[in-house]
Amino acid sequence: MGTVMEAPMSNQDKAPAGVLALFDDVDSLLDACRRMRDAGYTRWEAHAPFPVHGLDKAAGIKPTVLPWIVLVCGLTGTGCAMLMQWWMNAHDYKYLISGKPFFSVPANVPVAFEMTILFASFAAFFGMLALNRFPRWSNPLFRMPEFRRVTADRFAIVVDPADPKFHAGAAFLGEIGAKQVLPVPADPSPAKFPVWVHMVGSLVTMAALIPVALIIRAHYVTSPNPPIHVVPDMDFQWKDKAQTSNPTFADGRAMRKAVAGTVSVDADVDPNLLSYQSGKSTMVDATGTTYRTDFPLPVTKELLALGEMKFGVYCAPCHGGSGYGDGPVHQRAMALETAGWIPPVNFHAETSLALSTGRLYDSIVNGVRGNMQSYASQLPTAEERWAVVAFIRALQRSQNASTSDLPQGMQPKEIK
Amino acid sequence: MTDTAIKGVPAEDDPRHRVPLAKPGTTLTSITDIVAGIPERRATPKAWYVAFAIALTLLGTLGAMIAYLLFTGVGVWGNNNPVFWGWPIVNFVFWVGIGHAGTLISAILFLTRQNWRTGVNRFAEAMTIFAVACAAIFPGIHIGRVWLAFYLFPLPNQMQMWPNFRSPLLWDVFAVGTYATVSLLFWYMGMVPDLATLRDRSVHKVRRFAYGLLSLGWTGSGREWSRFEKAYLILAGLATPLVLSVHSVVSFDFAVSQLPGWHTTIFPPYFVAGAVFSGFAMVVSLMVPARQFFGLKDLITINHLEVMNKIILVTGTMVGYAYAMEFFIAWYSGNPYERFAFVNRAFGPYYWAYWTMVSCNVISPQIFWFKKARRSIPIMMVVAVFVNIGMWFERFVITVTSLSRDFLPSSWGYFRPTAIDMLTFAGSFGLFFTLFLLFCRFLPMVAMAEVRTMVPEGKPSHGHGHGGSHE
Repeated sequence: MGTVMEAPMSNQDKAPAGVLALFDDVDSLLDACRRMRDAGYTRWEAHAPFPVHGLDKAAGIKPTVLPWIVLVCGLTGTGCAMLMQWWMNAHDYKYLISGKPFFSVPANVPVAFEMTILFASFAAFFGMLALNRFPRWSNPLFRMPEFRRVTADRFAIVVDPADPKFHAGAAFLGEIGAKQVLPVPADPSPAKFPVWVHMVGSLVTMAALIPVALIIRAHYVTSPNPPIHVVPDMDFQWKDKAQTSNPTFADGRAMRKAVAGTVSVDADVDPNLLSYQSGKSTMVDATGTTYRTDFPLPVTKELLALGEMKFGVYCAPCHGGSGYGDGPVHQRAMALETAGWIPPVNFHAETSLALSTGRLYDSIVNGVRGNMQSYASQLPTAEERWAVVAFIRALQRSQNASTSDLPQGMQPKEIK
Repeated sequence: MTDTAIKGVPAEDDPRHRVPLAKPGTTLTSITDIVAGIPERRATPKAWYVAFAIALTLLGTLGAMIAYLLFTGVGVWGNNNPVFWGWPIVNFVFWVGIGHAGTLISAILFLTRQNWRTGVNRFAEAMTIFAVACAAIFPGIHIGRVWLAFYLFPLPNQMQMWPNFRSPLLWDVFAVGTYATVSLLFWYMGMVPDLATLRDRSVHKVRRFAYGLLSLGWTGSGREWSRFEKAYLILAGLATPLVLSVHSVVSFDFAVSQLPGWHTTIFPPYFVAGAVFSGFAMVVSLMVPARQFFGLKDLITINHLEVMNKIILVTGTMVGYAYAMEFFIAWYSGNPYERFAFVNRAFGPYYWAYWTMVSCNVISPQIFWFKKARRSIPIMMVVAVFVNIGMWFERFVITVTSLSRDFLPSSWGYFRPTAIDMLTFAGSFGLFFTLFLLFCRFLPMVAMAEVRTMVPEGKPSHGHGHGGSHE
């Protein structure tokens, strides 16, 4: 071995790294292999430029362990993929997608499949390299010009000096048909890396750790400097926010006033339509509030149709399609036994039948009891609100009808 | 060959004999000289420089278009509401599809013992990797803010969020990523023994060092071959379901959505057949000039090309069946939206794209029913180019006709690509051909080690001569 400063020894001084026997065709190689095997040689290799059919058996090569490595790694891939998907989507950051379970196998099959293949393929490739001791860039055989055709069109057997029968190898190879038998010269280069390689390597490794250390430090240290904006167009957008100034305009306001002549959607509404407390006829209810009892606009078929439509959209979910206070939201709350649930009003209860039109309008606009919120934004015009009130009245008529409501001539006759 | 010839059947058509996989008289030495001789040529042919200059120009165009896109935004493309998936996704599916032939030839034909693959597999695998590289660009730039492309992967980030594993788009990241990695491993591993041949033949120090580095110290020993062959077999076994899964997952990008024209269960097999179809067409259209130009006719014979043309005929007909079946199911489903989507596909504003697709993909390969056409170089070149055009249009038809007629008729419109779209697509060919020309110049184009086992010298004659009875 010696120190680095020593001049490399001449390769004649070292023992040979083996013996090389060359063969011209595949049949003589296979034949020689069988004889080597049968003669009890153990540390030798047959080299060929292509995978020779039957060489494993002729040279006594045992099947490789590689498939088992691949199997273990492939199953590891499946396991990792499943664990990763469960941890990421069902544990660490739960995704609720269309009410589906957080973790379900079918949705995770494609990624698990791909990762199984990926891990198994890495195992097959790197396992092959590792079992073959690759990369091995330095090999005494590569120094022999005679060996170079063995990767093209020649065949060879190389016996290792570690073989117990190595001393007799050269002669035996000549007997069994080798065209040429040569000693493999030992590698003349020192077996250890020179010291400077170690030093440069350590320095580079340490230098490479500096950026990593800085990044880790940044995670724990606060800084008075503003953050670095990698993507400025997202952080600083060309727009004004509310209540800010903009020097482009003479008045300096970023928020602009309505252009002169703009007509508001709720301007010019008949105040009579918006009022629910004063009308042609009024009443005072139990709380002492005055409510109108008439309709401020004519009740037509069209108005009732509009009311039916709006009732179906906004009221029926709680109050029910017929107004009995049994809509699906209520039923769901009952099924879940929701604590503190206040049942929606049944429009056909006696107290409800006594409600004035103004009181119903008030409920729509301002909400009730804290359980029903204001529906003013859902029903933005006074016509829509009165239409719903008219429809509720029609519902009440329909559910509390008596025979006297039937037209003249259609009333049932009393049976005597 | 003692049996007499069948009357009226030429000797090469006799079904009792295997078609020779290399020109008779090819030896171990001549295989090595032909294949290794290409990267060893002292003077690079002028034609190579011309082709490389064109490819580099196109590659530069691709770079310029991507730079313009990054600095300006995705508005430079024709993509708009509702056609959010325009040419970039069409090009992605087109290139990924082409990238399927290589692994199919290497893996499936290896497992099914189709020995004719040995002449063409290396070439097809290289093409696969370059096509997947082209494909990978498009989803990357299609996301708009390219610097955020790492959101595609489940990496820890400042939002402390993870990707949604129910999304087929994420499955696609895993499928295409795995496919690119495994194809590269498969290609490189298969090339190691051939790189060792190049190492041992090279005279120049730099070449010897470079090929020596890449060949990892291969010596061709029996144990190395034994492990290599086992690893190759395992990779083939793994790549076979992988190649079928990749285009299936790509088809999920469409099929899992609810859009009429996309939401169909036929998509996975239909996409895989189309991918194999387009990939084989690309292999033929590249291999014909390459074998002519680099003198590989002894190793890649007309018999190889004929077999590939048969596969083009089969897969083309499968694709035609899928087109017909889509229409049948649209009618049979009774779903008016589905019916509209398909009637609109064939007779709507994009009828020209649909009928281009049908003529190129279904009608043009039918000429391969005739043996003369299968063995004619000009005919196979024309059909291969037609198939490539047709398969690009297939992806265009699927993507654009469905999206441009979505659920809101008010947003219906006519998709028009921009010049940037077209130049980006043309530029992707630049990337493909740059890589391909470098491969042709510096790497072994034919799997020498595998072809060696196909000639008489590479087949041990058991029982002959000395000591064969040892077994």
